[in-house]
Amino acid sequence: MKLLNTLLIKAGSDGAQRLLGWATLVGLFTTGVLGLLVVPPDAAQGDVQRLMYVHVPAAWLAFTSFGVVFVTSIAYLRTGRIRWDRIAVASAEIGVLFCVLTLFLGALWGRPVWGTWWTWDPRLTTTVVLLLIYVGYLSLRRIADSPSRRAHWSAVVGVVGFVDVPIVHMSVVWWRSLHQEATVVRPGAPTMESGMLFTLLFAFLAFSVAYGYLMAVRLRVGRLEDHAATSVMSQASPRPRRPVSVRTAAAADGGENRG
Amino acid sequence: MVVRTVDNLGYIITGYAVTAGAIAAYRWQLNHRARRARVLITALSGRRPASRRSR
Repeated sequence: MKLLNTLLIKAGSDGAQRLLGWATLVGLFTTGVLGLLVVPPDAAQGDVQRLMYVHVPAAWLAFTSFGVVFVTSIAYLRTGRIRWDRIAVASAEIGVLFCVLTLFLGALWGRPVWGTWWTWDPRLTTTVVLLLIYVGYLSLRRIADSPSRRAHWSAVVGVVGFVDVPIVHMSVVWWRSLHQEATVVRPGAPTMESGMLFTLLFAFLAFSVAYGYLMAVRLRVGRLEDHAATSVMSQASPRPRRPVSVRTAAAADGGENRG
Repeated sequence: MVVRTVDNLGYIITGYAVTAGAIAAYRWQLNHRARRARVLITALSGRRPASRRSR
């Protein structure tokens, strides 16, 4: 938890953010070059298998994002510090983006290989459920009427919702599935040609850097939006007649502790 | 020089383009949200918010 905190503080600086931005650009471009031009096509599926180098890392990033939501939601429920809630919602937003991408890229890959854009396969179905859980998480935040209640409710969903992530991963083992089984994250060595494996691992790294960059930017935007909301609230509410306690003022400010 | 035809090129190009486009669009949206928040803060408080993070 301390490590995550330190990483986020370091990534929040202007210099680190610029560096992460360039690293993201270079990483994603190199992934494109490797995936489209360098790696040979798959013996069975042909060139369309090249979609793996964006589909699988997108799924990995969605899982990682929801993992961060899980960890920071627990941290919020334990400490009540609003900072954890800000990190959780930033990660959930990025996770939803990459979950949608995963499903879209999967449909693109499935059409020529399976002959259909969509099928109610266990892996696909549990992934849609995962997407709906986190779309629900983001929607819930628009319903709650106070910052502390919003943070508390969404932290609970963030913890409970993560249950679906291992289900998605294991769905190809537990049920009969059209989707292929895991080739990298599995017991034993990966069952993949070394060039393909290198490109896939490089894509994992590039997408992880992209996640770090988007998180750093999203956290900065979140702070600005909170500041703007506080400004609106302080303009709208009348001046208090009696002095308020520090704790109450902090809570009304959307401050560091829950009310 | 060996020229090889690429199967399902449309699916592959669409996949890579949509991935890049989605990340770029999200980054643009974050920029837009930040600008909107800054305008609001400036309008309400009369001074520009600090660009660096405040802890």
